[in-house]
Amino acid sequence: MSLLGRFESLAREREELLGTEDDPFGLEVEEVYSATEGRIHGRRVLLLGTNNYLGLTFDPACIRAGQEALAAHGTGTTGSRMANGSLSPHLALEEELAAFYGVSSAMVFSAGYLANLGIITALTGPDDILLIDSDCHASIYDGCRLSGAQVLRFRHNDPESLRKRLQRLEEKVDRTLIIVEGIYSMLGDRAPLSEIVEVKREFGGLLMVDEAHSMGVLGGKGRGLVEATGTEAAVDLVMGTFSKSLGAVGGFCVSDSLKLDLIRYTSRPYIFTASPSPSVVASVRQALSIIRDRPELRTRLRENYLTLYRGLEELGYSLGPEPSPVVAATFPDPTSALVFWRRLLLEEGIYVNLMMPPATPGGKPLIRASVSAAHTPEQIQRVREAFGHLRHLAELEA
Amino acid sequence: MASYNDVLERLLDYLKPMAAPGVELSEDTELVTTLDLDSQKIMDLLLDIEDDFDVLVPMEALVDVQTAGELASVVYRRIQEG
Repeated sequence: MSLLGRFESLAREREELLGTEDDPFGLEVEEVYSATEGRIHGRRVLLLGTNNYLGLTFDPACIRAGQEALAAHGTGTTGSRMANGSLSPHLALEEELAAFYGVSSAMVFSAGYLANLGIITALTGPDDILLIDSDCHASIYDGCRLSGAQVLRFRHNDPESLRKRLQRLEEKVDRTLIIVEGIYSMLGDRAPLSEIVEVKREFGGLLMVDEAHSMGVLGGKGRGLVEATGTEAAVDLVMGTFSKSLGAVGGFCVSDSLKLDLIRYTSRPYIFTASPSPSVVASVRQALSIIRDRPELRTRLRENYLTLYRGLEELGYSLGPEPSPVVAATFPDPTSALVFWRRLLLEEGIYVNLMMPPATPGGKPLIRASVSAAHTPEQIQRVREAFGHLRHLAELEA
Repeated sequence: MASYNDVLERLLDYLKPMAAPGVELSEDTELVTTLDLDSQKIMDLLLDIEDDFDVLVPMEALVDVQTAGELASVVYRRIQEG
């Protein structure tokens, strides 16, 4: 098939599924009024497809910090930190991230995707092994492929499957990086981290935990699943993003056991990408202090996601295995999921995510709602009712 | 040590429930075009095979695999390599 022929085939597939109606993967949000409301098709809608877990995108202090940085440092850095130098706020953010996690070093990237690419490719090469949970995010898979290392998978959230593979690796374990996530983005389930750490302690290897969806959500101080499970001493690298709980864009890595300063010299996604804009860095620093100082946001978030999860469970939806800010319902086929997604938006004024296989576990489409601390109890109730109204549209799995 | 035929036989057992009625499975069966398996399903299938034969097959070994026989060959080579 020719290069352009591939796109003709994709165009046909898209038309077969979507027809001439809205493309759920190219939706225009015309205006954003707040962390929980926006305008789509000229109508005010409730936003539950944003991963804005703490609702900080419209926090007045974060906005003010961003505006002041914009005026003080300009709109962008126009280059990478290796070539153009670091601004003082970049260094301050890294110091604050290290202090927040109680570790010796932190490294900031321009996107969460780049953080995973940058660390995995810098740490591993053709002689090494990457052993990843089968449900890991695409950025982890892509980093693994780019590294040139041998990539092995173990069954999702199955420490025994991890154990068997580490056992088979024998002495190669010393050159193995194990990768799991705090909360998995598709079904919202957590890694059994204490058990995974036990296996790692028994066999060896380095352990990386991507806390993209769990930072700011789990743990007494909002550090994520590593904090919630008390496994800090056994986890070598924690990855995170600025684009969810911290309400901006960017990514980071923190570590106590590795000297991240040396990784800066070998991480191509770090070396060859323009550094984060000053306004982004400033709003993230402010958001980080809010996560640290306002634990009540996590309490409110938890109340909201427990209410929605239990409500949809009562309605008979097939949900992820445990409550979390990611509340995902499995649908039997793409057409029923698409019809549900459209009617939820057009008739009920509620925007959620439509996720299609093969990006989804189990090969089934998902309707995924991301809950925020900024949602009011009335808004959560409205979502529950809307899912109730549309319950008849799809033959949902028992 | 397991033979190529042992691996193929086990693989075809796993593929049976995934095949449409009337589809005859053999080592020439195309995983994507005939059985409509996506990359995720093929990698998940590999997890079962790895455990059955106590072997590790890296993802990159699957790049050129199109048929059941080719997948069985990849697994068998890894068994031989120990």
